[in-house]
Amino acid sequence: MAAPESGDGNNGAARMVTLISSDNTRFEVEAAAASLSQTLQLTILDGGGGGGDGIPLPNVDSATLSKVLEYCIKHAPAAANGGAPNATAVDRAELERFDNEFVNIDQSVLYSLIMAAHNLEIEGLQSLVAKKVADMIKGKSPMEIRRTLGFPDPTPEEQAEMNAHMLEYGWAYE
Amino acid sequence: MKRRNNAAGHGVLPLDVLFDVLVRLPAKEICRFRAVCRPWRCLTSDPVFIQEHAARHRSPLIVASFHDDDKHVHLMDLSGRILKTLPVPAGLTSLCSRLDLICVASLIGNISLINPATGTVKHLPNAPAEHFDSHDSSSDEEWGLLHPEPEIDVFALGRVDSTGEYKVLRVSSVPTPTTWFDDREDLPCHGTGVLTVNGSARRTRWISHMSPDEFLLDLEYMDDAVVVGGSVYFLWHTGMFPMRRDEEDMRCGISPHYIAVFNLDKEQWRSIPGPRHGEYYDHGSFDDDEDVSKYFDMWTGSTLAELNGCLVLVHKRDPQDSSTFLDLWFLTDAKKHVWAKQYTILAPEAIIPATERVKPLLLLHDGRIVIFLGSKGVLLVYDPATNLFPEMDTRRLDAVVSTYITLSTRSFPYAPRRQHLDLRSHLLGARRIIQARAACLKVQQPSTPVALRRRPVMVNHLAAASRHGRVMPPDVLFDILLRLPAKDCRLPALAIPDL
Repeated sequence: MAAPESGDGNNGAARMVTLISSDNTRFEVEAAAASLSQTLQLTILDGGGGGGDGIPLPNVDSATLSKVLEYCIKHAPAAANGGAPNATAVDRAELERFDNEFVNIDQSVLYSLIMAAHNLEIEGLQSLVAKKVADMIKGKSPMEIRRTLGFPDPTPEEQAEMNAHMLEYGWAYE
Repeated sequence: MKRRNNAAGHGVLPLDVLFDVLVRLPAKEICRFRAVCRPWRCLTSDPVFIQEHAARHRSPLIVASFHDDDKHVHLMDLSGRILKTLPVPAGLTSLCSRLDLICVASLIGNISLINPATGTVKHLPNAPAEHFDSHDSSSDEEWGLLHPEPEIDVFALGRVDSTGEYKVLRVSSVPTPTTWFDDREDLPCHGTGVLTVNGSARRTRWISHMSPDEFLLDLEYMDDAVVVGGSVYFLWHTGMFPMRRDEEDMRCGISPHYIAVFNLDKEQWRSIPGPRHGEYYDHGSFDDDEDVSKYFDMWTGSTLAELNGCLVLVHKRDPQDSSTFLDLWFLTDAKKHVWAKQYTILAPEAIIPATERVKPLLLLHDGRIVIFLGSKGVLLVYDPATNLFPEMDTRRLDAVVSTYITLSTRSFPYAPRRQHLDLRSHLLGARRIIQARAACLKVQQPSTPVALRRRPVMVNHLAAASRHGRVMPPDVLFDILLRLPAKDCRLPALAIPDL
């Protein structure tokens, strides 16, 4: 039961929604920013998240959520302009600088961010983190990648498969 | 179970995140990454991934056959640097490609495919012998007028996008004389054949076709066949056609087509008009002789090429002031036969002689055009901004084609490999996928080319993903599978082998 005054409060101040992280921290953000998440968008359109209700996000902890919202708030104005076709070059450069800075983070934070972007389906953030991970693994050998991404050591069987593959793809290691 | 949620990170990226990450990396990196682990290998071998990857990374390479070396072809980058030298089977010298495979053939119907990434060679069945060694002696004179060149087989390698099949079209350059001398008034036709390279074993043989009677093609060189998408284009033979369907006919409203098209998917011939057909042809007929001769001039002074996925008609105008004019007409709408003149190249005759065989090879991102001069055997890099034609520093070339390296070049494009079936154990059940895919596709229009379109999912939907260690999280996989239209990904064979 959403309170009517919050659900239809589309006049005056921007509508706010409340998001609740897995550790029960409440975040109040503009609906426009939260709507960058495809997952949340429908709920918000239906009038959810207003008033005292809040939208629970059991997969996202508060540290990650605040990081995600930082991104959303920064990108919401541009997204509201329909992908910002008329944004000035300065605005775009500023966003780019922000993005670069934004993913310059510890790998465990990055991982949480990837999962959150994925679960919340925030398209811009998804491609931003994907690009970051791609940059991280570029030029590395398979073993280095396993180490970078924290895979367990290969079993003998896996090691044999890897060796066989390296033989087949010798040219890719040149 | 040991949790690995330590600071070092995880390696349990959901499949579509991994997809997003890997699709950004060049093919060579991806091939190396296939060693990382089995899920990565499965993902990067998947046809959907390969297709999306190819759409993003298509930096062209030039395959060169040098005049002084008929035992190798050479992969060059756009500066002319040789990256790789690949041996070719003895006797095979002609080149055709524009795909991620190089096709080499002999003049008499032997044909092989070379994988540019690995150098592996696949021999294809010989084309059926439809050559007639001894023409009827009474015909030779007449025949020689039409066909001064020796008889060759022209091959064209193309890919049918809807099925992923690679097909080779063979056209004998000399029309079959048996029909030439039978009682009919029909013109001779070319013996042609189609070979599906990666079909089932039953289909990997030459299927013979005859071209329609009036399709007399202009075939002197291997690159006279131009492959664009799933179609192979040829110019009609100029020596023959005006006599047959002459100017009178054109005034009477017979459509002035002079380009023959073979559709590799349907395996059918048809024809299309060249540029400016509308201009001269507005009122259902040509107005006067001048129009007709101009239109014929468009045809007789032209060659075909492919640039940027478009058919291009290269029209060499009469030289003026010791300069050669080349108009590049792009077939911008193949269905409606819309041509647009996008470049006019004005070259000094010293650089491009009026008699030169000119073949644009590549249109680069910066607008420069790589042009092959067939008689001189050199490559020019034409820059429209400066109107300069620097010559690429190479040995003398016999033939060049372009190619690119994609992930499917890992091996010849056969049906999905067995390892795809490893996915099966992770799937939730074939029936559920079919139902869910049907429901999903009803709601959402998948885009083409295949990209993973996201749709709102329940927040918890993918929560299970992180619990599944390194194996592919079934929910994520499921989620991906049902977003893909069945025909694009050939997943039914992979996901539901029982049905």
